[in-house]
Amino acid sequence: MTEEVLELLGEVCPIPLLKTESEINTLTAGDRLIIKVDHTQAVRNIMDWCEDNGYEFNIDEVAPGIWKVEIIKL
Amino acid sequence: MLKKEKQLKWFVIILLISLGFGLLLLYLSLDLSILWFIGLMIGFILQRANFCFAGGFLNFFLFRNTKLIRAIIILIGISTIGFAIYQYLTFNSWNQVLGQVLPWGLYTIVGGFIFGLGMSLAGGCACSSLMRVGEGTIIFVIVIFGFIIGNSIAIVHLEWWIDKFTVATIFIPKYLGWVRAVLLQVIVLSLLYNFFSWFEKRGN
Repeated sequence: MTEEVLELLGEVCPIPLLKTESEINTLTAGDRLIIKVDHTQAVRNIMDWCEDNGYEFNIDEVAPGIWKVEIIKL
Repeated sequence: MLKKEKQLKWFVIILLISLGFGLLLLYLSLDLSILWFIGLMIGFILQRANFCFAGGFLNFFLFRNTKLIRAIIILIGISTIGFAIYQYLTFNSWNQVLGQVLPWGLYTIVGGFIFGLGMSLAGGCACSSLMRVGEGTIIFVIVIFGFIIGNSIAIVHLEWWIDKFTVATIFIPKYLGWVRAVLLQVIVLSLLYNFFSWFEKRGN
């Protein structure tokens, strides 16, 4: 079980989801990916994408406009 | 870093200023004041709904997700009906229909392609860029400036393209009648909607 952190502050669509997708592919099941992002649309996209793929995720707004998304790979 | 309580405080302050400005506009003209409030409401709804034209297309082409693009189709459907009613009620002659009835030619397609490229690279079209500026994303201030520069340059030589390459100016209700034109557009849109629904289901 490893934990990867992806810093995506300042990145806009579609970069955050593209990077999330390629990062998830390098992980093995049970690994955790933590993403920091400040683009609202990107948070929504990552949520939708996780739901479509059946990944468990957790979202926390650490400061106004900055979100920490935690994804557990299946 | 900004605290959440501070965010709420600033929201209330800016809301009061906006309302005050809207009331001030009433002294100047009722129309301006109404436009101001409609603008505020549209901005608020767009932000809360996370609506984004660029995102709709990007999500479809890059991630095979059709949720936003279907929302865009519904939006066009609703505005088709709304606009048709408005144009019908204010109708005088076919030469002065309310709204922009513009000619098309090859330049429409080329322009659309360039706009699409720019929109995808910048991460937002006009409405979502404005919304992101409102959210406080500095990058989109640059996008808005790019927009203004691009539009200003385009306006200078637009006439020349229209003169040389226009195929025709077509306003469908003129040829089919109002009801049939609206029906045609709604049918085409619902076909598109069904196509995207089917595409989404097939992917899963």
